[in-house]
Amino acid sequence: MTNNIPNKPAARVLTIAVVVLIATFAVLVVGKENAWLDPDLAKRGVSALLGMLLIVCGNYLPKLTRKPDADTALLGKADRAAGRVLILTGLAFSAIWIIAPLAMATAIASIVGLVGAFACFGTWAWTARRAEGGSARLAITATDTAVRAGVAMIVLSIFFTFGIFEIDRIWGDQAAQWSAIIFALMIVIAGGSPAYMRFLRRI
Amino acid sequence: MNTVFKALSDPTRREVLTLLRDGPKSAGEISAEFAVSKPTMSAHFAVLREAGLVRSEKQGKAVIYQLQMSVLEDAVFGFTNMFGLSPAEAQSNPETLNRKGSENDQ
Repeated sequence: MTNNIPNKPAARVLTIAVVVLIATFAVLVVGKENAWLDPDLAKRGVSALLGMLLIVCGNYLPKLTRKPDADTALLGKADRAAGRVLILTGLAFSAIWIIAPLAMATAIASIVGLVGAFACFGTWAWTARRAEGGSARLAITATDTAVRAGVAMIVLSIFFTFGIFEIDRIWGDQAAQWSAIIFALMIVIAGGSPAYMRFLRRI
Repeated sequence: MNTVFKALSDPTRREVLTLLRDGPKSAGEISAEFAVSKPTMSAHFAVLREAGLVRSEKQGKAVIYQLQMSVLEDAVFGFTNMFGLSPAEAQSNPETLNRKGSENDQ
């Protein structure tokens, strides 16, 4: 019969979407640096793209394959809930950067993003506690296939960017630069150290 | 997206997706809920899989299905459930299938 139809790979669509968005991001940055684009327009564009990355990641999150031993029913619900939070956060963040006056966007967009970050990771953590009988592992890391770990890293990086925006606004350029360096070092350590990855999975 | 709309246009397939919201189920468990032949059910599974709304994996002799809907597809599913073919319409349509309990003719 028609049983030989393969499962549709969601990861490929997600990867293409993320690559296209990052390429657009790079074009905007290069355009700003070479004065092809108005700096304010480039800033709005880059920030709105961050929101769109969240929308794409949130939309495809529930489609990503989990490990076979995962509590699929509960973790599926966690992914759907976290996905909705990511989409709403991304929509709000992008809309603020597209519509609001620049001064207001700078002030409130990152706060909206950070609230979304806590809501998203809170959803994963709360569901994981129920899924694993009280274990505090995050739902996203409890089922860490390579693609899911990649998506978690993208989402975490975007949320950290929101944090850097806020640090820049409150404490200035130098504090923001140091924060960015510390985060980059954390990524390098996480990428190079299996022990650190095991630690992250236990959070 | 066309395959998604096609998959969601049928009330039986929407019922299958509703069943899978509670967790993964075998093809046999799902089929037992519907008063239709296995080949018909198999065709429905194939449409859902082709649309990427469910994924399947073999565990021994059983084929286990689990939900694999994006947030957007989930929203479209909600809308089609809200505005789609009602159960009454489904009964009058020979192309659509009814859950056991409402139909005892098979």
